[in-house]
Amino acid sequence: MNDDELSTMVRESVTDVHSATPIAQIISRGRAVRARRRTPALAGAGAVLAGTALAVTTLVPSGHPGNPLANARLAAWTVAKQANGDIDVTINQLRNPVGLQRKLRADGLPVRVSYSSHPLPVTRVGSYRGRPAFFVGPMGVGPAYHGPLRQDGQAPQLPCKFYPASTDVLNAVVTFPGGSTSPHGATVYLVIKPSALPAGAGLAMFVGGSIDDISEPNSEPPGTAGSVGQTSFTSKDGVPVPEYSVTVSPVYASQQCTG
Amino acid sequence: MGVGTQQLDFAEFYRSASDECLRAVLVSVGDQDTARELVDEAFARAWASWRTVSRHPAPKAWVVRTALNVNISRWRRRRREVHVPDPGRVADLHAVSRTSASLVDPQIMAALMRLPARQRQVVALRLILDLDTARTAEILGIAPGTVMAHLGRAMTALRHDLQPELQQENQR
Repeated sequence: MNDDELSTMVRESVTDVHSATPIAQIISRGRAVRARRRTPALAGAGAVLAGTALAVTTLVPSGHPGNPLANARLAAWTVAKQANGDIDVTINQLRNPVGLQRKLRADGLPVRVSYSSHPLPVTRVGSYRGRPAFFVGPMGVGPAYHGPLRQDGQAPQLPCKFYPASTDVLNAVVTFPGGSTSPHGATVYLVIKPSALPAGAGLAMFVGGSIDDISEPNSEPPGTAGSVGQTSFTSKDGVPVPEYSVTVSPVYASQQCTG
Repeated sequence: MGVGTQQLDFAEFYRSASDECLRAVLVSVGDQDTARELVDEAFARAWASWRTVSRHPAPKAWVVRTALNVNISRWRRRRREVHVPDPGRVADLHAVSRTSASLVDPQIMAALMRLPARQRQVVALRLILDLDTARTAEILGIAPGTVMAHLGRAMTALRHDLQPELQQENQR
């Protein structure tokens, strides 16, 4: 069987499959998508404009200096603590994780923020696009995240330990109002409710790496508690491409991990 | 372009491309119901961004890429709730037969599902959408040489998997 015959066989195997969805239904759904996109897009554009005006790499609270409740609006991210204690976090760019971690801790959240190395147990070392890499897969069967190995060929040593919180608890602590896919394009928006954290628990927040390759099998690390997250997409020549993911997992609060 | 004209334009695109996109996504995800949901959502998003998509050099590829991205997002959402295998990793012939009813050849679909996800995506774009290597590479964000390597490996694996089936059929 040559390549042409095989190609034909593959094509013909699905020729009886036809789309049956009426176009009116598609257009109706498209209108809903457009309407949903319009409001956050305006808000997102406002945030980006505000961020551009304050394009700084250090923490610059917009309220009173020294007040931990003051909101921080940066080009890279925005943190706003609400009167009820909830913390709104908007991430626009993969920059300044130390500042974000400092601000969140100042707002009373035991948290570890990592952009370049994963705070969770590494499940596998292998290669990604031809380069040595580590993979982690907090809850699924595929490597959700990956990153480069250290120069000595080892995966980063990570100081956090999973906290075995249920999914319900985790969903009470962290919500992504836009769902698992960012409606803001490259901006990710999440709301954290510190008061819902179980005693002794904190959060590990990982920002980075797209998840465009989930095909490789992976084993779940022991003690996995789960994670929630959102993927942002950018447009490359009009094609939406996963840009980065923000994932939050519960961990035991400790000086080493969450400060 | 007025809204009415845009809608006609989109309707024509949907009519001409929806079957092909559905088949490409089906080859990639392996389940008809999932593929239909993903493609419907992708076309809805295409309509929501029709000004951009209509100018795209390969709008069908845009739809398929979007559908696959939606699938990734769903996979993320599911994995925080219950343990489910990546649907693309499921190569159980009975499961494939059950979900795909009689519209697709179960042996070929099972063989496709045994391929790694990236190889299935390349097969979907190259063989079902009939995109060239360069466009496929662009859509998947990989090098053209990688596309060719994936396709070569996929064809070898499919041939190895399907040859016994063919021989059996020929002997009958």
